[in-house]
Amino acid sequence: MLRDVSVRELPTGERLRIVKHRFMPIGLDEAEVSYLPRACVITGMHGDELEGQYVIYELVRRLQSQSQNLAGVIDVYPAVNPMGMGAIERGIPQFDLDMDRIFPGSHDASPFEAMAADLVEDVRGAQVAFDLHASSIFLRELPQIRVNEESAERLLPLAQQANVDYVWVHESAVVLKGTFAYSMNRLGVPTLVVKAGAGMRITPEVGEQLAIGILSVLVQAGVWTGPLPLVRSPLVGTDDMVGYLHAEVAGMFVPCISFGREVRQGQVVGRIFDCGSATVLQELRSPVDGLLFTLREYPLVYPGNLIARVLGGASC
Amino acid sequence: MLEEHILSLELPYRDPLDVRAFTFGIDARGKALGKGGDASTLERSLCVVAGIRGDEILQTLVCALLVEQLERMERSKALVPGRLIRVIPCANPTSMGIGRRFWPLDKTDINRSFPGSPGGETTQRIAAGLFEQVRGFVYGVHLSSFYLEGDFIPHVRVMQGPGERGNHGSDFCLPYVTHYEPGSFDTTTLHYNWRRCGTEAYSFYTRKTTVADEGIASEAVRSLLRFMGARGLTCKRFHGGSRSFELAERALVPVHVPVGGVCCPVVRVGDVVGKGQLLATIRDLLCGHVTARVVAPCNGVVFYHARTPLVNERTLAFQIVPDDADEVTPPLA
Repeated sequence: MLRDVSVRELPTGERLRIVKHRFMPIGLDEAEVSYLPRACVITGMHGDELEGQYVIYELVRRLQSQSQNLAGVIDVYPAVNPMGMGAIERGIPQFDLDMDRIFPGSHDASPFEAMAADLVEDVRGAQVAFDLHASSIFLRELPQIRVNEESAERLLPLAQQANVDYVWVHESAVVLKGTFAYSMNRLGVPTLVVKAGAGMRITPEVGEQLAIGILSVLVQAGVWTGPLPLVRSPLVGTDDMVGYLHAEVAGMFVPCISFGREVRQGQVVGRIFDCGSATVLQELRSPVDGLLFTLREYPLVYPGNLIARVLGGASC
Repeated sequence: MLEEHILSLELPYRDPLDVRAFTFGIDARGKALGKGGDASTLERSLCVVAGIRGDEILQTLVCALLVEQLERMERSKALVPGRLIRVIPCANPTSMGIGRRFWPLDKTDINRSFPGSPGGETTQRIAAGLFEQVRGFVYGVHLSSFYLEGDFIPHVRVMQGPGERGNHGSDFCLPYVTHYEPGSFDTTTLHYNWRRCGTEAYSFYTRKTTVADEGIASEAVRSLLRFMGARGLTCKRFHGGSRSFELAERALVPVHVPVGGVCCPVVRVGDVVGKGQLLATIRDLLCGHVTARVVAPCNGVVFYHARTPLVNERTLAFQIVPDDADEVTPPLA
């Protein structure tokens, strides 16, 4: 069942819509399901992040084929920034601010801030919510959940059921108070931020992995009753357990090891070349032993660009 | 005048980022910077920054004209000895050079990257390098632009909250000084971090952004000189300007359009309007019919007008300063 969450008219007469697909237990009507637990899965906040599309494809495929297992309501929002997605832009075209920094939104400012407010209002009251992101076009990430330390106690048990490789408990930053997840968590909706894969790409195995993870959490939330395979146990890390590798020069980065594997401290992760002179400008070595969970995807680099993140530390 | 290369960053297949600063001052011996003057004996009094975003052309022009003016004043000993003034006309020449508002590779906004990190991502490194050069001043003025495209009555914004320690915004003698509470996304701006570190910061909004209009720029330069004169940085006071009306930004009355279409305004910023007065008509883009009339919700003055000719339903088309807005009493240091 397709519904409008927020609608604004564009100058051309086109309607800018945030929509959701609603899945309900068979035989029940709207009034009857209003007492049931509800889960929300949103994606497409950043228009150039497409991994969430395949996650919801895999999720919805299962919801449709096993609808007898629905014990509550599942709302799936496939593109909360439809203009960005259509224009292959991370942000909202015609608007300077990152959509994931304007929550809880406002009806006093731009139409886009009003749409953010509409989205918050629609998700409010859910038992659990997911905000699915890919990485940017520059990086590839192992499937992971990022949890603000302020919400860690409540979210960690859910995140550990979500079939991800890694749960990153990060420090609270004031600027993150504008995120969808922060607003929803403040409103009492446990909201998990999932990050996986790369921008402008779909990685089918990531989609399958995360769809199973979402269903696993929905079982905990009492929304889904279907059988599931065993989910993986994620590593749980904090900021101080992450080692960073940055480019210190401008050039072309080429990795020399595969992504998502264990690396040793000092092991060469990749090199930056000046191609015209066939010169190696920088050799990048892992700062710690650990799991290479982020790796540069886009070859051209400026000084400072992130090349890799390695999860190290004794408790991993 | 000292012309310094304060920040450099290597770029792939382009000349490096090269941020230049122009520093003025006369030491106790009467020697100007660059002519034997000793900068270490001067108070870091004022820093003016523009062009953090690559489309802030007018803001950069304002600084360029200010540099020209200060050079003359320094030569004629019209600057008060012991005061150092630094102007950075274009903090992001890499984006400006290719007509991009944000950083060319990842489209990040340097003015959302402060205080930056010397070991972080590219724009965090730029922000950190820039902040190192602009911190520690008594006064900081950032010639900025708004996140929504549009024209403003010239004004300065003063942030409330962390680090707020004084307000002499009315010394610019612009028509308005607005006070705002920072949102979470404001915490990474230059203004916020200046205030956090003890600099009395102002965001200065010119009438326009992406144009090179010498008339508007000269008005802004005169306003900056009035501020300098009032704060004791120049030997003479500069006349003209307005008595500023200070108000809370939340007192501005938003006017949204009810439908999408072509917005045909009939008023301009600065116009005095009465409640019910027509501000704009919205026409259907394809048929030309007038689909909505946008009217003033109150008596007041048009403060902001969206620049875009095509509007979406609920676009913020105008902001009005209502006649009955309360005047804010500025906290003084």
